[in-house]
Amino acid sequence: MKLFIEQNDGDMETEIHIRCGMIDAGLQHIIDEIQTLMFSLPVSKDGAVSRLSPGEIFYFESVDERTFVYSQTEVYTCEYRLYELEEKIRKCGFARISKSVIVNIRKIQQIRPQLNGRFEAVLDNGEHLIVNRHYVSGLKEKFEGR
Amino acid sequence: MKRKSEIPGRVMKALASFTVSYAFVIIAYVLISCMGVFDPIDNQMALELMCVCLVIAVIHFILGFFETAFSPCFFLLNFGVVVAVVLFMGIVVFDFLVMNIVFFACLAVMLVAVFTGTYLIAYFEDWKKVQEINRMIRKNKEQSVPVPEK
Repeated sequence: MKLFIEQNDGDMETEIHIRCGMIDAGLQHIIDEIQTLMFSLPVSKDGAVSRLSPGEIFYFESVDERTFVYSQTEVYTCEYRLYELEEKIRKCGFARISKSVIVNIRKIQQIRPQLNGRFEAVLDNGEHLIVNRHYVSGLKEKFEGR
Repeated sequence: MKRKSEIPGRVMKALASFTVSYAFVIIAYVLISCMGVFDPIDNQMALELMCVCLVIAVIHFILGFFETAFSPCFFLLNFGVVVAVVLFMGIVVFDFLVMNIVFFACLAVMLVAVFTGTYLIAYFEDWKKVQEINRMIRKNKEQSVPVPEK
């Protein structure tokens, strides 16, 4: 694989072109990472609309048909439903861990088993989320990069 | 669609979970009898029943019990069904059950031991699964390039 970087002071927008024969797992990983960097989600808080990159989002939670977006310290609302988000951020390292929560797997610090048969995910910001047994294998596959 | 396809599997596991408990009860009854707490079983039907239960127990392990081991509902279902089946088969059908307070005490201890054992095994399985995931998390964190925040 060769990497060419053309820098022009006159160019206002960065363009990334990938020229390849077949897209293998390594290349797909690079494409996914670039798409993750390019993606941003419109969110609102107190009437003010802003955009969040996947790297800023810790998890999404659906409560009473409203979707909340949690960052390190802030909580925003989002107009998309969880199933729509699941599709949009499929390649950005997010995984569903319960019926109402989608988590950024890069923000998971560790998983712990609980005595009631559920699992608990501890996030980098210290928050604890319940992981339903039903979604554990999907989460594991996400970590394996499948 | 995925959920619908899981229902037969879950039903099978639930059925399997209480049949194996039933098998354990019969085995325990035989063992307790042999220890001299009661008269040894002289009922041929009871022994045949025990063999059938052993076969069911083997099928149970093939189907996979660990999925249901954690659910309190299944625990209660197991306990209730086991007691009901043993009482019905033992008293009404085969007439081999000794109605004795010592027997019920032994039965309760045995059931608690079986369920606790199964629970601990299931917890250990989960613990192993979690260790594997945590290993992958650590590996991913070591390899990942920090994503710049906008």
